[in-house]
Amino acid sequence: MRTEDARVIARSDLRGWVARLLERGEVMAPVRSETGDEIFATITRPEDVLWEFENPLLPPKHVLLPQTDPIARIRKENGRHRVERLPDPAERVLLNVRSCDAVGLAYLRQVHEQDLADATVVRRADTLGVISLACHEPCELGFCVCCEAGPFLDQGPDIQLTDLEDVFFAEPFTLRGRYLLDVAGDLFEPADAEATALREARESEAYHQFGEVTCHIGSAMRRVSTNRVAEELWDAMAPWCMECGGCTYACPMCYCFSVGDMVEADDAWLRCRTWDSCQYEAFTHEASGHNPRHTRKERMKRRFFHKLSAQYYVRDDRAGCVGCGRCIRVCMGTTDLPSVVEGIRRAEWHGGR
Amino acid sequence: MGVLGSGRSTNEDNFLAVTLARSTLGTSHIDSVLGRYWAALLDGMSGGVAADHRGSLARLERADVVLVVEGDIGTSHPRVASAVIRAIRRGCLLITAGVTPSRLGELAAVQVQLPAAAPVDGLEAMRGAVGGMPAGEVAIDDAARVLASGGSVAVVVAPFDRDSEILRAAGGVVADLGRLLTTIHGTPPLLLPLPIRANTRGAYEAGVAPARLPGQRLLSDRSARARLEGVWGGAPCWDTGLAAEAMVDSVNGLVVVGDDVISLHPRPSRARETLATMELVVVLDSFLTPTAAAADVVLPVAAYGETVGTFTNFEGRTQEVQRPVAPTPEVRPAWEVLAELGEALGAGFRPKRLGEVRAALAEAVGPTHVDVAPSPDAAGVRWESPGAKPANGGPYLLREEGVHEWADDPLVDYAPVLRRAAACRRSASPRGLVLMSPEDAAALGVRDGGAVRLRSDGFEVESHLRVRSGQQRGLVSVPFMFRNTMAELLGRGGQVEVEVSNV
Repeated sequence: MRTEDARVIARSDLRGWVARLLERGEVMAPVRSETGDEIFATITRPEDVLWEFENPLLPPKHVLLPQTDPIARIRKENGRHRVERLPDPAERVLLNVRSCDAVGLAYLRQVHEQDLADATVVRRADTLGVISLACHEPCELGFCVCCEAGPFLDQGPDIQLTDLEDVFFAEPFTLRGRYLLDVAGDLFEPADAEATALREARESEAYHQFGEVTCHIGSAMRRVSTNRVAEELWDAMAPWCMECGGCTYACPMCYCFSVGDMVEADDAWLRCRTWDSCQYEAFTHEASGHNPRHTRKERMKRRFFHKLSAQYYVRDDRAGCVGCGRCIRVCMGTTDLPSVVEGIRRAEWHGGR
Repeated sequence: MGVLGSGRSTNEDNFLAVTLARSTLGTSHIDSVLGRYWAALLDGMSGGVAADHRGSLARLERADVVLVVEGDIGTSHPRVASAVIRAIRRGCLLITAGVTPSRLGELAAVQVQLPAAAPVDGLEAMRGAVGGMPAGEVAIDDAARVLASGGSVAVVVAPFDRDSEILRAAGGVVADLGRLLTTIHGTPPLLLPLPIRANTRGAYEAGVAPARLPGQRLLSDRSARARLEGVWGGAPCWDTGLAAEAMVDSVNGLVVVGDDVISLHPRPSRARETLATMELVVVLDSFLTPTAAAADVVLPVAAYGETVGTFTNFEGRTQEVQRPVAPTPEVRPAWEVLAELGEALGAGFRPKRLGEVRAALAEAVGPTHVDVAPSPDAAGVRWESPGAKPANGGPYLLREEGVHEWADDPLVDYAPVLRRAAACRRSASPRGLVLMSPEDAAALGVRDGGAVRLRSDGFEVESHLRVRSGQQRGLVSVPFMFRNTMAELLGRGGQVEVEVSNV
């Protein structure tokens, strides 16, 4: 817990804070759609924000990585091609993301800053304020405690909110976080000892409720990283995957993409990055006609190597999973991450969960 | 004139297509290209009598034994395949029966390879074995034993052959099998025929069928006729019309509602040539499909996501969809365009609101059907094993595989990551592609990725070859997307004996 500059805001003043955030720019939050689903969307009214909700089925990664993401406009003029940079995004705030999704967003920024930094994604992250809402009850399928991604965090978002019923406890983790609290003016007060103690107790209760680790990623990581997963195990698991790509699309940490051009006019087109999945057959199909991951088994091995190996843990400072449980919910087969981790740990497969 | 509806359109759109055909134009030629596969399976299962097959995936997931008669439902019907996987996870035993190996077969307790030249014979042998007459073939007898072993049974049949008569016969055998299993277990099994495409069942039930009225009513059903006369007015056409493929060959003009005849036709080149000879082709669609590109008139209509309407899924559940996206102002729902077209042609039924279309459809469909009670008698058939074809010396059987290619669907065509795999396959095999067993390839001296020459009846075609593990010996399969390359050898049929040699 970080108490430096921690503040509290009365529950009744939350809408006032959101109204002030709306005055300075776009605000996105969990809302209830017309069809009753919980989704992340841009709000126009403070009362649209959900403060008690299950985590939306799709993570908010589309804020940094839109499903169809224009990255440049190309025009042909006088026989030459001119590349136009698209406008930078305006300041935005993403409110009430769960801890797992906050970790996912921080991870996406980090991987796009590595090596040759992706300027588009980094610019979006630079103009995005992330305000997380700590979880005090576990969600049905989540296992964030196994992935160092919740229920409470000490870094990642700009602000971490904790619901203490009459008030909300706000911990700014960054300068931007402090600024977003200052925007509210006198709606926030410094957190006193009683509030701080209540916040600590809430975290303690949460860990008690969330229970023990159930998905032993470290154990699977050791086996994956030292080549101790038998080919026969992958042979047994692969037929249970339907290659729908749902796990990739629903995962807060997946960022596979493809690039294509959308024609706007005879002499202009928009180069776009689109979500893709390493589970699709032709994802690694090369121009030569060779496909190094031609079989479902090879693609599955690759996915879980990326998620679980020590190599990536060292590079990214964490495993490739936040334990949100979405892959369990969307998997059309039975090859969600916890099932595969269990299969790897036990070196046997009985059809998953 | 002929009218084609489709599984890409809503029930309301399809009902207006039926109205245009039978009431306004006075033609009995109303069908959908993919609907005939569903209709054939349904006809076979129902014995020609209208029945209400409302099996549910929830019931499938709870089955103790699942028999899947398929091409490859992991690709064609993934939601059903997902339900089968969940059933297996719960301890269900899976039996797959098919001409070619399938993904789901890897999870099967028993895989039955149906004879390529006569797949229904294999199903009949299984039925006979369940009825107490062992086939003498291990897989079939194993499958029969599992089916008869007790517990609840589900039988899923996907369209595995483009020959409607084969599908009809297969449906009939499955219905007989269902009666046998009812006698053995005391409760009827779940029989789940699978249509291709989201609303193919809905289109069929709205009357997009040459031999059915809305609600799957027979053309001779007097009360159905009376209800339709009340809705449509005038003297509608009650004749049996031509099925989609025959319609394309025979009519002088076509109105196509959301269907892409050329891409779905077994012989796309021939379909394109035939359309070009017609006096008039009118297409209502959201996409510039090959059929729309060949049309004389294209009327843009709202796509899925831009329209309000109902769809009926393969379980028989009718659901309403609300549009999340408004179409551009000049684009209207297909039912509105068809209503205006009908009015201009002097139609008796002239709806102005969606509610009127729904009310008319409900009136036309009439009271809901109940399942036809299965009859207890069933006869078995002794199966004469065709034997495996020799690995060399031929002749081989060249056979089309599959009845549909998702990559040709306009919705998939607009999603680059979804059509990519098929595009890669096409570019990697410009001369087309056939599939052969490892034994046959070895006997011919052809490696995977090599080329073969196929000859039949004076025609000769060269093609790329892929070796497929589990492929029947003597069977050369041509995937649906490459069917055009084998058109000269296959003619109008779906299979032909060929000589195969190394190139």
